[in-house]
Amino acid sequence: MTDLNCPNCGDRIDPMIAGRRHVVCPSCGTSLLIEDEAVREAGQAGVMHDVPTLFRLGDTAIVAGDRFRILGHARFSYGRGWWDEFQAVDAEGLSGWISVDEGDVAIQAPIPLDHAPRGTVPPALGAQFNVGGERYHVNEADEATCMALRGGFDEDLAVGETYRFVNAVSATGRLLSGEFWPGGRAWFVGRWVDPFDVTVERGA
Amino acid sequence: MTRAPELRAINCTACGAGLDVRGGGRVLAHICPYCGTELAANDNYRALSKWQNLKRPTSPLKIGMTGPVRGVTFTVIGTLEMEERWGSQVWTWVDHQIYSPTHGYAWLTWEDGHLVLTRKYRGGTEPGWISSDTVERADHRPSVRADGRRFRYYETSTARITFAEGEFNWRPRMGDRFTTVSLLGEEAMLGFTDSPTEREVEITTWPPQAETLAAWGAEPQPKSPVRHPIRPAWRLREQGFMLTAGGIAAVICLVMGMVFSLDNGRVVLDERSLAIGALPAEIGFELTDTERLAIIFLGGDVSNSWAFIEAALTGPEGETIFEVGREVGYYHGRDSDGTWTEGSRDATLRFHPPQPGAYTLEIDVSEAGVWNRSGSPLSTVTVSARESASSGFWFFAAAGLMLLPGMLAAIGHAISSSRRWSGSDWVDEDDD
Amino acid sequence: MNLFRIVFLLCLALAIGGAGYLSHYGVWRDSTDITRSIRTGTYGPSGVGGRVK
Repeated sequence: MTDLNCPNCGDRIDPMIAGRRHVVCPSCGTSLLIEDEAVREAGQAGVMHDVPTLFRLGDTAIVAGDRFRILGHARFSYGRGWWDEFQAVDAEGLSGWISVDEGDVAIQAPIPLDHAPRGTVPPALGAQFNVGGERYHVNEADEATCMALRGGFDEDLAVGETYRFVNAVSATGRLLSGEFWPGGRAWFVGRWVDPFDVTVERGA
Repeated sequence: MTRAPELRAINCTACGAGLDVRGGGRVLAHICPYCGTELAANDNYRALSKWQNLKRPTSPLKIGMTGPVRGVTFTVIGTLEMEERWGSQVWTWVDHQIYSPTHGYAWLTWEDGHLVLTRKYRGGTEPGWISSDTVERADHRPSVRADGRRFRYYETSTARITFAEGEFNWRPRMGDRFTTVSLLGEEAMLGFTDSPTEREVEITTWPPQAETLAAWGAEPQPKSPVRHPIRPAWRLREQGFMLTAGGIAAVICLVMGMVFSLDNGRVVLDERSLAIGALPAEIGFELTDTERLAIIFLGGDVSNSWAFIEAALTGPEGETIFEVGREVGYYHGRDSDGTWTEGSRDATLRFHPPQPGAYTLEIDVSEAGVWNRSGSPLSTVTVSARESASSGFWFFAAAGLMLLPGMLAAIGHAISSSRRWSGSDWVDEDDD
Repeated sequence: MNLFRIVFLLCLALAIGGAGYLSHYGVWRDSTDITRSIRTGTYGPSGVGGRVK
């Protein structure tokens, strides 16, 4: 992997983070899109308040023997407060998301749209689907705004962007989440994790 | 959602008192400790309802105290008093909502002098839900599997809130009833709670009491007179090892015991038959091994008869070694159940020879008799002898001894386990 | 493996060994009426066990 430099301040970007598609320069905070090794500016990084968190960018979160390297940290708000979404990569190099909201931790991986619930609009509360042999029902539907970004992401995120999301749960505790924005949607499936079952290896 | 850090201190919109905000962004209700007004924490603290809150419940924990839960610092943010009524009986307990910005919300409950920790249970359970109806209809004590462990039905309780103060991540309402079906496992209790707004599965554990109270800065409390069901049963840590190792050793001993008991040594006197008419008779043989057992085998051909054989052994220097008698009697017949036999035709004499040399055995029959008409009296006595024999006895005794520590520990654990369940409200329909 | 287990296993081994010794020499396995009848002498290898009266 060749070295990449921020077009704004010229600083070197960590190769690990540079492997992702959307990166925030750690020096000047500019949001950058990486396309075929060319880097272009994409926006601002937003304000990330420093509060106690289970883990941070650069740490490795370990859950039941699975290791997740934390590469990106996005903060979304709805109303009076926020929650954090972390782009993580597992030992096999597969990308996923770890969502952390005051002790509610969920690890999810993207599912291809042909396996996901159909429909381009967010389903209503109580709606049910079958995904991967499990039955889910929607228990949460709301709107979120991206407040801040740090590190690298697979998706194209922008501070200030708003999208609608739904959370659906199954009887076995699995979590299905859908995100809807103008022109697109994405679905993720995973499980809730007890924060006490998460051990953290601090990064550099 | 995490609360934006700008929100630190707020005033009660009803009475104006300053409120300390200790919880996170998920706090929905804040009940003013001064006037009892319930304020919507996520909606500009507008007044929702008012709590009577006649008397603050007694508990070693107070709002604002901080302490560790599995190494993570939590803060007490709210206090509830709960009451359950059944007939004329009333139980009360105190639930404290605790909060950590990284590990979320949980409960510390003070009941009957015990402190227990309750947290949301995220893992799936099999079956996914147990209701009080399921329990009513069940013939056998219902159970649930969670995280590879088994939890068995303990009790159903319906409680209501009688006092509320502080912050909560839900909206408590006066008169709300919560029905909880509790199932007890080896080290925790699973609770399936039905409330007006939702269903929740929680897991409760019993922490070391004195240490936990001290770690939270609470006043030490006297040891509770009541045994709490969640407290794990007494168990010796090495109980399993003792049973396994002792069991394997016991099996080895049983096998060795059988091998040794079959070892009757080497022959020093081939079997001789003595006709009863030739008695008393003397037989000589050599014994060389003084360290191991010598065995004299006596036999009589009794059939539905008996005889008393006398044996006297003289040593190499003519000294009397022993004078003993053995009864032989053998009976057999037929009845409604088939053929039967009773008694023995053989007798053995085991001893350690005092010195090597020539021994003389005198055999006589002092008494004999016939049991019934089909009986034939003793006609021949057989004698043989061996030396350097082994015994299996000590191995059998050792086998029993080896199982003892493990079994005592297991019995102790079983008794302690059954005591844990003494408060369960399950009644087996079959029991009278 | 910890100290308790090591000691426990040692005790088991000693018990097996001890049982082997006692069983081999038939210690205290003389017929009871004979032990009462023997008036003189010791039994078993010298150094083991007491006298019987």
